[in-house]
Amino acid sequence: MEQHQMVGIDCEMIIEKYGDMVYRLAVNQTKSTTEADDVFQEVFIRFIRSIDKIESEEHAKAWLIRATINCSKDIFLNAFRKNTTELVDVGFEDERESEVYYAVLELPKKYRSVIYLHYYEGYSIQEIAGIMKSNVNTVKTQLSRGRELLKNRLKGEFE
Amino acid sequence: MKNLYIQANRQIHPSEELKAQTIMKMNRQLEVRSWFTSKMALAFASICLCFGLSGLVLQSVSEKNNESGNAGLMLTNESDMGIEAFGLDRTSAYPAAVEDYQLVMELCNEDTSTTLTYQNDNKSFTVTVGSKDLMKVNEGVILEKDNEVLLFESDVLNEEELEGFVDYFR
Repeated sequence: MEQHQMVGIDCEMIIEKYGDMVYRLAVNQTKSTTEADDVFQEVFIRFIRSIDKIESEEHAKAWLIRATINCSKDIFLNAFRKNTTELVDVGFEDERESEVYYAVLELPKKYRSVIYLHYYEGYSIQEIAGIMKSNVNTVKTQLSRGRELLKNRLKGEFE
Repeated sequence: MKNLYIQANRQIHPSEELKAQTIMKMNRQLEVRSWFTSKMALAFASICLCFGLSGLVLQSVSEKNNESGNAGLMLTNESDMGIEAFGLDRTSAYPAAVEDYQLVMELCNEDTSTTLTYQNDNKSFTVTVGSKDLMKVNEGVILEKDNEVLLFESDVLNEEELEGFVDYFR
């Protein structure tokens, strides 16, 4: 394991621990593996720049989620990228998994992030509101509407 | 549905190449941070050292003045050049007429001139020693020698004190 000797920060460990989460959320937000790659690098470089402000592992995780969402927004605002977005092609083994995953990707962005954080990362509505710096009721509504849309598209409850 | 979504997400990973590149960039960022921090520390240490040395010099001047019980003109190396042009040494280079005055500080210390301020309870005056070419020479000039000027500036000393000062140097 490569450790940065000068300041004792183990970048490889950070990537191993949070890399998948950041990447999955980046794909969830950008719907593109190419853009998710850029978001991934940018988020971890920002993380290193702000590492002095990180107080705990929980704080680090929440910080990374917030940074990934913000960074994805920055990329989306880039007009050139907006016109060249390519949909993610993961090549899922199971057709049903693929169907559910793409159904979530087709949701509006605000519903996608809430669905991901709640159902995959296991955050509660209160925790998501804290991370997103949003109102609890807003998150509750977004989750409810996202679920409703998925129910219509997938012809089944998303529970 | 929820389980299918979780399983689908588990199949999404960043590539090893992307991870390796990111680790490399993060380490580079750390090196920049570390370099910047060390330079900042060095700059801070230098500033502290300068302030420390200045403090020591001022303390030394103050202590020597207190020991002598009168106005002692302690000149730094830079200012010796001007004083020596008048054939005066460090210890005698203050006028008898103003021996009751306390040397307070050097106002400026440029390459070829030094300004010193004396003061007692209610009066103060400055003496500037330096090159004629570089100093703004005006009515305050009281002595010139070998292109060096001793400039006396005061509007509070009386005539007797002024004469005593000039006599001292002559």
